[in-house]
Amino acid sequence: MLLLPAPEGVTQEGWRVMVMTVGATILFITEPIPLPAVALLIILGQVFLLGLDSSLVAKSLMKDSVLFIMGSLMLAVALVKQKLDKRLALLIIKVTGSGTYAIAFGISVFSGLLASFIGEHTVAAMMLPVALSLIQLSTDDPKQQRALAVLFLFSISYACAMAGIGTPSGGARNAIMIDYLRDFFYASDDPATYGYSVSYLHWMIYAYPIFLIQLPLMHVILRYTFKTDLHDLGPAVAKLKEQVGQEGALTGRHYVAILLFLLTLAGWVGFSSRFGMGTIAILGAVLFLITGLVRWQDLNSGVNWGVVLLYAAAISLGVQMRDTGAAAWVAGMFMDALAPFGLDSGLGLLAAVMLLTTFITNTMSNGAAVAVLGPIVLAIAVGTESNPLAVGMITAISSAFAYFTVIGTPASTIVYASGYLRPSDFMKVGWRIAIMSFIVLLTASKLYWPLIGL
Amino acid sequence: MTRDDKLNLRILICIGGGPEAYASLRYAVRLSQTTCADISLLYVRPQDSGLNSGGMEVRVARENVLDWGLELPGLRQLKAARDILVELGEIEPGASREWKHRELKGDPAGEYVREYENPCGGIVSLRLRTASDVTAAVSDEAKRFKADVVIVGASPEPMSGLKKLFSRKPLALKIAAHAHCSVIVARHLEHGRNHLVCVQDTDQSRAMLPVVSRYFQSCQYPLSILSVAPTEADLASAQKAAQEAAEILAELGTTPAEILVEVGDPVETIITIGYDFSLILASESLKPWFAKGFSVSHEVAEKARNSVMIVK
Repeated sequence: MLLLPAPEGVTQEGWRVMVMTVGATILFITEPIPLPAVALLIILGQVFLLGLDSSLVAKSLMKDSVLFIMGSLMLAVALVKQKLDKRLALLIIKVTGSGTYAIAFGISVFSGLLASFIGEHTVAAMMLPVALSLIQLSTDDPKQQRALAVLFLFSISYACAMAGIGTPSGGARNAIMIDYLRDFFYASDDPATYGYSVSYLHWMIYAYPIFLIQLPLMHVILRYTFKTDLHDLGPAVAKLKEQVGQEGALTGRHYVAILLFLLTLAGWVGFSSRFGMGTIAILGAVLFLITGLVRWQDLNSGVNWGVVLLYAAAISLGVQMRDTGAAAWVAGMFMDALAPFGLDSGLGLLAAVMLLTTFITNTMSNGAAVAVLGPIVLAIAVGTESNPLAVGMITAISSAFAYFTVIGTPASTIVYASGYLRPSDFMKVGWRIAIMSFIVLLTASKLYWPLIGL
Repeated sequence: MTRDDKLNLRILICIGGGPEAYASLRYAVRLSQTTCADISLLYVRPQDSGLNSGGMEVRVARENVLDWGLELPGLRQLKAARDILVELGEIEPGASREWKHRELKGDPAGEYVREYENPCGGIVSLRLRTASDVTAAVSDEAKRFKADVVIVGASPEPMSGLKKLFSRKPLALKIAAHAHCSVIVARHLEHGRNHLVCVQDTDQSRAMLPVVSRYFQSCQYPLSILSVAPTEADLASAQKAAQEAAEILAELGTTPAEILVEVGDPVETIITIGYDFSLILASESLKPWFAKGFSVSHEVAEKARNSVMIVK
């Protein structure tokens, strides 16, 4: 493809970036080589194929969103290491009682509320043993165990996935979209563009209600898709209380961990516009290290640094997509394809972007999906004179609709690692939840966002 | 029973949670009771990609699960297999061992191992490994364990039509193509019925006979020989191959119960006649791994409804 002449409407550099993007996307999905190697190839491609200065390429790798990804991953490992999950388990069963479906809903609510602030991988890792304990303490019958497992584990993973869009700190994809919006549209000397520098609070106002509406609907769908004979888990709850109760009361260490997390959260809400979300996340991780709550060795082994590099390279490539005009060219083709169906403006366009994102995010991680699609959908917004902020939000939010596959969201991958779920389970319930999410998102974009000026 | 190193088999059984692997345990125990085999039960858990888990290693979640005293996935399946071996008398009831973690060269996750001694002095080990490529991990384990035979379960309903076109190649067939040693693709693998050895007039077929003889001296099952001529013109060659195989096996101490020579499509004939046997044995193809699916032995392994052993 590199040797072919560039098609009409795109520059030679733009065509090369397109080829690199297609190649990287194929490598993301099929993984024939280690993923960090894909990141390194993207860096090399920018120097050798696009002729960019290596210092410029290196500079383009480190953005606030990359710092945020790095910091939030370190925070995730640090929080999981505090062993607060046992207390969380006690709190959940204290609130829900012993009814199976009440516990499932309680798990969803707690998972969702936490995941909306601290990242879905953190919450999934913390909630997984809570659910597995209840499953294994409830029954020895493998069939009944599996019935409970699908209910509880999907309650965790789908709640985490839906909640991840609630706040910017809920997932890497949000930080990536915020960076794209700021990079592409914000100008410090033009007050009309200030809205594209999305603050933590503004993001929450746009997205949090969508998560809150989806949560109970998701529970209803799970409840009717995965029925179980075990309606009361009284004995299991009693055993769990006994086991967890042996841990004793919260210690000073736990209080310090909770305080640091709340401080980080306050920093995100109050100061991220000034200092950047990434800086706050790094600050939080450093505080955990300084106070001795977590060892560097734990952070180092718990974070996959190759993934951080991969996100950095993907975002850098996304910027090149915009700068070389490749994103606008792809966007033009996409719009030409949508126009005959009347989907090139308004709600139709938002629906088309949502479906495209949903498809892509089910084939790769949601952060990578936003990194790849971001420049294209924002170029579509410009080309169709739609609101880039609305299109960007639709993309970021629908990147959470990765309900059909194990690899779609971090939480799904983590709960799948329990060994209780089958890939077909995701398909069985995923389409129902996807339809519900489509309806909620499009309704919100039509009725709610205009009310708040989006 | 005491250990006879000449006959002592080393059997690797892949446990994936499916019923076929558990069913094959009885067969393996029967082999063990005759020759005091070493049995290794292996569960390979696919490795999680850091990208899919959002950049946080799934290990963090697993360590958290272990901290709660819960079992890792795979241990449940291995324990179920161990319970069957206890029931069959291969492991003493009440025998308890701790899981040990071992570092493996080139494998960051290493493996968890639990070992038992069976009544005749053989070793029964339960192994849990994590790997990005399950086929490669099984092949690697077969080499490390110096396995004589790998047993891996397969669906008794072979895939056909569109399902076959859009499905991945079954794991059992991939392992059969890659492993260095003989592989039993197990479907309803049960002892007590005759075994069918398929031969032809080739060096590869003759080369498998010492392995076959050693196997039958270990298991002491009655065996039949089948040679299939694709056309009437090949009948003499097929008869010669069958007769020669019977003589070689007799010299090696294994006397066949019957010799069958048929004319027809080799794959279809072997599958049809072989259906009444516990196990069909066929020699490995000399084709490279990616073309083995077009060989008679691998086609039989793919299409048969009962168990097939590809002898290497």
